[in-house]
Amino acid sequence: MDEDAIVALATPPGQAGIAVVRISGSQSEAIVRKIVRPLPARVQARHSYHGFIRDRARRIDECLAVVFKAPRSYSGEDMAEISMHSNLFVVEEVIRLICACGARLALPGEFTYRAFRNGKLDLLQAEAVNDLIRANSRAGALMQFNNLEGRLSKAVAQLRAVLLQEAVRIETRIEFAEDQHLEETAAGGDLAAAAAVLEKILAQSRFTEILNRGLHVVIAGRVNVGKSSLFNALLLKERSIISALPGTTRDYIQESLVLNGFPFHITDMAGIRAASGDDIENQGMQRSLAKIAQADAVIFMVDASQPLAETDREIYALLAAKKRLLLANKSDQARAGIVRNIRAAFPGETVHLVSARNGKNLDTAVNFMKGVSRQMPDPSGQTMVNFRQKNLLEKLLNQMNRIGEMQALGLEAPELIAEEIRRGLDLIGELTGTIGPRDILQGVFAAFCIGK
Amino acid sequence: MKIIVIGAGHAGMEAAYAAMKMGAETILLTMHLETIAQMSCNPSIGGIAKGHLVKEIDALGGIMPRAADATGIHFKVLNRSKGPAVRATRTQNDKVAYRNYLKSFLEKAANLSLYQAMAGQIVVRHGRACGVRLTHGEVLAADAVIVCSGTFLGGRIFIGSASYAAGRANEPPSLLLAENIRDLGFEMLRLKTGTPMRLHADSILWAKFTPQPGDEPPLPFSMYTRRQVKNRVCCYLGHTTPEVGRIIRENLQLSPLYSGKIQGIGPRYCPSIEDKIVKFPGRERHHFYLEPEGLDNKEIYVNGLSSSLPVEIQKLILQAIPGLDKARIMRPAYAIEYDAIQPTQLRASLESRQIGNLFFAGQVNGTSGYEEAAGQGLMAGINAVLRVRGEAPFILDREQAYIGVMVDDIVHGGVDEPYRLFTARAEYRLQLREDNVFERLGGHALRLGLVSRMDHDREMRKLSGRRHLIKELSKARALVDGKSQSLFKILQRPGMNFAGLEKLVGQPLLKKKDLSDISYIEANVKYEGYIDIQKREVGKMRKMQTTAIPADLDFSAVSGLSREIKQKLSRLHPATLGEAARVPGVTPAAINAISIHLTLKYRP
Ligand SMILES: Nc1nc2c(ncn2[C@@H]2O[C@H](COP(=O)(O)OP(=O)(O)OP(=O)(O)O)[C@@H](O)[C@H]2O)c(=O)[nH]1
Ligand SMILES: [Mg+2]
Repeated sequence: MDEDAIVALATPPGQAGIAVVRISGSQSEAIVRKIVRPLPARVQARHSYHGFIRDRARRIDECLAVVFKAPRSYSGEDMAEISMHSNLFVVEEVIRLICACGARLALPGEFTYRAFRNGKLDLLQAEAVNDLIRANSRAGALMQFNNLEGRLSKAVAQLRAVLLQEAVRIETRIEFAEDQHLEETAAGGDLAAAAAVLEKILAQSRFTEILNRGLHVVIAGRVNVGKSSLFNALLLKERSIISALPGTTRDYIQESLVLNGFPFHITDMAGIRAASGDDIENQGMQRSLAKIAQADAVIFMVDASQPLAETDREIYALLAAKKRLLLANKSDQARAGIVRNIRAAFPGETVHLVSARNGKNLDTAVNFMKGVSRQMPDPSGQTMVNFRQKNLLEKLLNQMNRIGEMQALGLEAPELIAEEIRRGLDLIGELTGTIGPRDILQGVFAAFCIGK
Repeated sequence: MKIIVIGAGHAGMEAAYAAMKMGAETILLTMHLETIAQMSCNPSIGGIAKGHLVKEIDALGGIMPRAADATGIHFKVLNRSKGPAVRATRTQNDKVAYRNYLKSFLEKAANLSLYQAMAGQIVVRHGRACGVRLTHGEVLAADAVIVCSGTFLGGRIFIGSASYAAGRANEPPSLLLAENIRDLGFEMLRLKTGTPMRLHADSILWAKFTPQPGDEPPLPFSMYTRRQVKNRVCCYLGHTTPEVGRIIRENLQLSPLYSGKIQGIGPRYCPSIEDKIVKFPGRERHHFYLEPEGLDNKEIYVNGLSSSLPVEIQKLILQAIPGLDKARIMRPAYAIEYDAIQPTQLRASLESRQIGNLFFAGQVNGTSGYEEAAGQGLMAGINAVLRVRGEAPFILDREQAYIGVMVDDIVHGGVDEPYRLFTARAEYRLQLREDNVFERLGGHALRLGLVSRMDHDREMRKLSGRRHLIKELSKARALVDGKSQSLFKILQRPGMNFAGLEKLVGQPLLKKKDLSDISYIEANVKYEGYIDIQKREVGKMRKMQTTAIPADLDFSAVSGLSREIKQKLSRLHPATLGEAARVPGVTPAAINAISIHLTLKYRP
């Protein structure tokens, strides 16, 4: 018995109707046989068998059991999956039972780790699995799936091939050019093209970050214009306190919402007015200003039933560089002259007349947010880059540029260029696995006709 | 203390000489006193990475560099125009003179006995080597035995369909010793190498070839070489023709390499001409060198045409090359298959893991090349003495010397083809230079008694002079592009070199200087930042390297290792993670798995 059997609940606890418990390790089938009956004497891999989970004589639940044989399984080891009803107590009992049969609870990510170790996934793919599980949007999931398919791995493998090729060329010059009068020079790697690919991946990574964290939209405006009313209407729940008293919302409140498969974080916040003596309110307003600065988009609201105030103009002035939507609220009490004044005050903007209380015209806000998400690039065809990867890719790009510069100088310092290439390869090694000088020599031997 | 060295080739001689200097009463066994220090293949010492090795041997008081200088007939520094780290010395040597020089050198050494006899058996008692039984029946007692048997273990020569047992052309192999080593439980490898034909100088039309003169002035290897060395011959460059390719393709089935007669694994970096033709079908011609084997000697070594084809075909090949069409073969090319031990059975001291006080060095360890052999011989000689004295072994790290890189590679990685040193094998190439061997190894040499105090102090003074100058360079300033900069910074500029700097200043910065001084200074100035980074890496590596793997660790219990890796590691039982990482086939993921296992299992 070379592998600990590990067990874990593979589906989110409590939410779905069916729960799947996963076991990995060479004991997987034996464990399933101990607790699921009836099973035929020989089970076929990847076939599901109907049966009952039993603790000795006692039936615990009805289930479907599937057995996988190494290496044709997720982890690359023998595995089993048991699908049962998703009741927390039952699931817990089954896992306890499985542990009693010799398995232990899996550490977080251990299945994926084993898959990585057994060569089923490379490090980048393993990370993609992890990120896929945690992806909080459809677009994010799509991009992670691209990663899982190895798109990033492929791009990195290409970079590695280019660097290796260049290393082979240089090492061959060092070792053999004079020793063996090597006439031929190998084609070097196309570093410039490789650097361009890297730059493209990195350019996407800003988009990727937004996807991972979601888009931040804030509702900004003077006190009492109806911001909290809009906030609640968008969320379809009474989240913020609403009152006729100006200055009701004191601190910001953030809630998340998914539109078009895209995560949004909407923030309701303290209304803004000329500084009052109230310290708490002043602090709240400070925070509001900070939130506006950080937001990806702003819904700016004014009151259509009240004359425009200087504060409205001041807030608007903060939004010059932001994606924004202008709403004039309380359309039910709007007065034509005021609305005209508002429109005149913001030339070049479309001001939508809405009522947060009656729900009138609020789809303008929803459409605005969807529009913001649509301006993001198409996620299919993109690769997700996580923070660690981005960091290394940036270093790698620097390194490639540096090598390019050194080569452009045309100096006879191949040993230093080789040093820089090795560092580049080390960075790639950090991304995916590793590489030693042996790999370079293999290339040298394969590409050249060297020797006595 | 008595030490026996079996075999008086390049490894055996260094081993015996080092052991003798360290105070051991040393016996150097050879089958044939006339052929000690024989250059079985090319008449040349050094080259890239190999030259580095020879300089290291020099700093450790070895004899190869002195012999190479004394009998050198063509001297060249390769990669002169590239950076100091990859510059390397190479000599062409008079083979007969080389052999004679070393024979008389060793004959003069007190406490070292050259003895013509054939070793038949290593006498082992209580798991330790304690002597050698000779084939003529005599038994010699010893405290340690060093095996430097080269290609003689189970050697077999192939020329076309003919083959015969031999250690070198027309010299008998060591069959008994090969059998004995196998009986002692060593895992053996079957390797192969080859050597080209030797032609009669007067039968070559020299005008057809491009001369390759030596350097002027020629530079020696050794710090002990006081007299000016001289270039006395020229080498020549030539090319094969498409016709050669055709002849070889047509007769390929006659080559034992391709008929399947030769099972041994040959070196990829040194392919036979038939290998080259097969591997690079698109290439019309392949180059070769004509290298004189000596001054009073008409034999010409054809570097690049090693082959195991029948002699008739070798003749056809020559006829198809303008300038060699009338050439007379004096010795045909041949391939040789021989036994080597898998060097993973050795400790880093080159002592056998299973049998105490038994050391192996040179080609018997699966390496190729005179220089590689000599480097190991030296280390085995030193370590045999230290072992008998009960002292800690002398082990060079990968960042200290190419010798360290080589020994570490073979004892931890094992070999699957004859091992040759390349500078690319060194992680810390910028630090392992010809110009700083004394700085790297001089202290060890003195401590071990391999060099005299006087020689050490002389080299030390030279080193101080160089270091002093580098300090001065930081202080002195000059004007470039209208800006005043320290000479150090100016020398750091891309494209600037020491000669350029002296020109700029308008006076010599160092009065008496050779290429080594210049290389040393350029390296220390130009590599400054790189070497700092490498030193930091060394620190990191050390930490990983030194993570101990407990001796009682059961590798079969480490989850996630393939069966093959488990078997390998259980057999080798590396002492640290660093050693484990260098075992071929052990992936980073496997190292990860072991390190996770260690933290889970052995965490306090
Ligand atoms: N007539 C009318 N009143 C509205 C409308 N929307 C909001 N109100 C009222 O306006 C008042 C203020 O609404 P809130 O949503 O609390 O306003 P707010 O902008 O969050 O105010 P602060 O948190 O104080 O800054 C409440 O009495 C709401 O009922 C609307 O569309 N029409
Ligand atoms: Mg509010």
